[in-house]
Amino acid sequence: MPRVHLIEDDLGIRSALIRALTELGHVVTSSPDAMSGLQDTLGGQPDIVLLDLGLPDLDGVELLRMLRAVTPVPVIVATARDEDASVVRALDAGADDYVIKPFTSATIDARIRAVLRRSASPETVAALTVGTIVIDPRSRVASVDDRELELSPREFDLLAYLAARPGEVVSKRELLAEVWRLPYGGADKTVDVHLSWLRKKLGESATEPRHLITVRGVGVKLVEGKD
Amino acid sequence: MRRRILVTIAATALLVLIAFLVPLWYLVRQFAIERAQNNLVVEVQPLVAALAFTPASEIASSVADFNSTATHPVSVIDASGRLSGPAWSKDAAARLALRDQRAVFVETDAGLALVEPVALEDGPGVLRAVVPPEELASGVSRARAALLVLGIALLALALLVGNFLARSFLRPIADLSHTAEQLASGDLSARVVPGGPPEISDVGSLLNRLAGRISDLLRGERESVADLAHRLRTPVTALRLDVDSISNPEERARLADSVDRLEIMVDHVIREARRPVREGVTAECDAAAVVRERIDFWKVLADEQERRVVADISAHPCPVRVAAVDLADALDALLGNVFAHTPDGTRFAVRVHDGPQPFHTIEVDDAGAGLPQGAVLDRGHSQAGSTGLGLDIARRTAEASGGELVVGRSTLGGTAIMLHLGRPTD
Repeated sequence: MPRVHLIEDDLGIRSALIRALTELGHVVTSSPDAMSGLQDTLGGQPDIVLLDLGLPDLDGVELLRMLRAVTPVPVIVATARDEDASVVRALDAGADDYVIKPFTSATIDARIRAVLRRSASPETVAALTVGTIVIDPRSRVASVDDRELELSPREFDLLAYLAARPGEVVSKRELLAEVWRLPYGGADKTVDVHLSWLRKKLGESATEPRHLITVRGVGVKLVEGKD
Repeated sequence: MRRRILVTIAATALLVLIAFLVPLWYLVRQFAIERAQNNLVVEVQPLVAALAFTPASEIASSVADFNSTATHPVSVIDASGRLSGPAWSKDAAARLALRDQRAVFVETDAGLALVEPVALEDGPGVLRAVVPPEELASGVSRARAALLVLGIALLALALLVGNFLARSFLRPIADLSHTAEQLASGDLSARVVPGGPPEISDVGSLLNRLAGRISDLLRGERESVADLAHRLRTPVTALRLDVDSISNPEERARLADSVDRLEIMVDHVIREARRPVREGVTAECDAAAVVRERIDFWKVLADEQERRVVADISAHPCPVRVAAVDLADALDALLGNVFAHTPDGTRFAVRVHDGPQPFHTIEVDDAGAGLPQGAVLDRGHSQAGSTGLGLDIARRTAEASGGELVVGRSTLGGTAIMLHLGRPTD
């Protein structure tokens, strides 16, 4: 069972996350401020730290730098700050992932698993292959039929997300939440447009799909396709 | 401004030069005449003195001797009317000189003549010597040319010094103008080094203080918006996590839906609060370019859904007072509405044109069923199961630019949304 240490000053979020992550099989400890968070992390040796940036006694990024100086423990920043500058600053300071509030417990759980997976075998981030589609998440290069695709960052993330679940129907709600990090109802048609672009770049169409199949009323799935 | 200063200096210098040079122009000629008169008097004076002691019979030979070396030949008429020297008859000038016993100068066809009484052995006589006109004008042209050259040189010097002064005077103003332009274009780090006359130096210091104040205000706005995001999103997160923990799936789904809507509203509020931070000092983009780019983006989905898209976009730039990212969001909201609320195959059109002054107008028309009778277009209200924020985003973007959003009936049969967007002020 992964041991998660949560550093979060808001009591409501702290108790809700502890409850949700415990139910999902994690062992959760918590600290309400930066100084106790630093002490508890060093003393408790958790597998992963969930860190809020808006702490009462010290900025979360400063705490992150202090943690990085003394321990290699993976850190996921979970904060309300969604500006690009904040994300870059936190990642540069040593964060392994960045989640913007509000989030669901399922999202946090998935991020924890992904970060732990990566930190367990940092040297082998395998390429994803679905039929003739090959995606290398490290170099962010994707190809189909040995032809390199020119994808926007969002299109790449979308393709990689679907490729990680080959054959599985993924709902638009899930794509918005996991790829766009937006709530459902915010920009739903954006997903459709990106799927259309992706389909076009894969060299197929909605009427004659090969890899990207729309399941009307349910979602979309990426399949191996016929040669 | 520099040109005006130079014209003023040139006009002033020209007036001063005219005031001095015009009298000099005439004095030069006068001076030449007086010099010729004096020279003539001095030249004939030895002869006048010598004739007083010359016997009457030798007057002719004395005059001839004198004339052989003189620059100006002399004629003498004695008391008996006998002429010695070049031809001359006793005229009015001679009579005047004899009567008044003084030398007179008269203008004649031969030039300027000196007529002077002389005392001779046999009674009073009269002498005449003539300065030809070319000798009178000698040196005048050269002196006048020198005056002209001097005048032009002084004028050029005045312009040169004026130009130097104008530049040194205008440089601080140009620096001020440059800094003001940088600030207006959004570079709030721009500062001017105060210089020049005290009044202009003061303006520079005040401009720097103003720029600093704007930076402080924007920084404060940014911090307060960041704090707003934190304060709003933290309780929504707690709420979402609580909803996740509800065991009844139907209840959880229903509440999760409400939290979704709440989250969208919160995002919208935060986004609106961030608008001044996003825009900075100025917000401006080319509406035609943004619309072209967004249509390219949406066209792929339109093709998939077999929707015919008409894009009627002005070929020339349409600058509007909106940040490009905000205009793109507003367009995405409107086009997203068309895709969400009209069936596949429904055509739509996007036009960008000069709207009623002072606006540029973006018009999104569709061939759908149109808005229901009595539709409410306020934020958060929708007749089609969405949040209804799309129109609100577009409306706020139009209003932030000083324009408005107008909903009407499309010529295609469905809804027409017109975004009247304010143009940048000069």
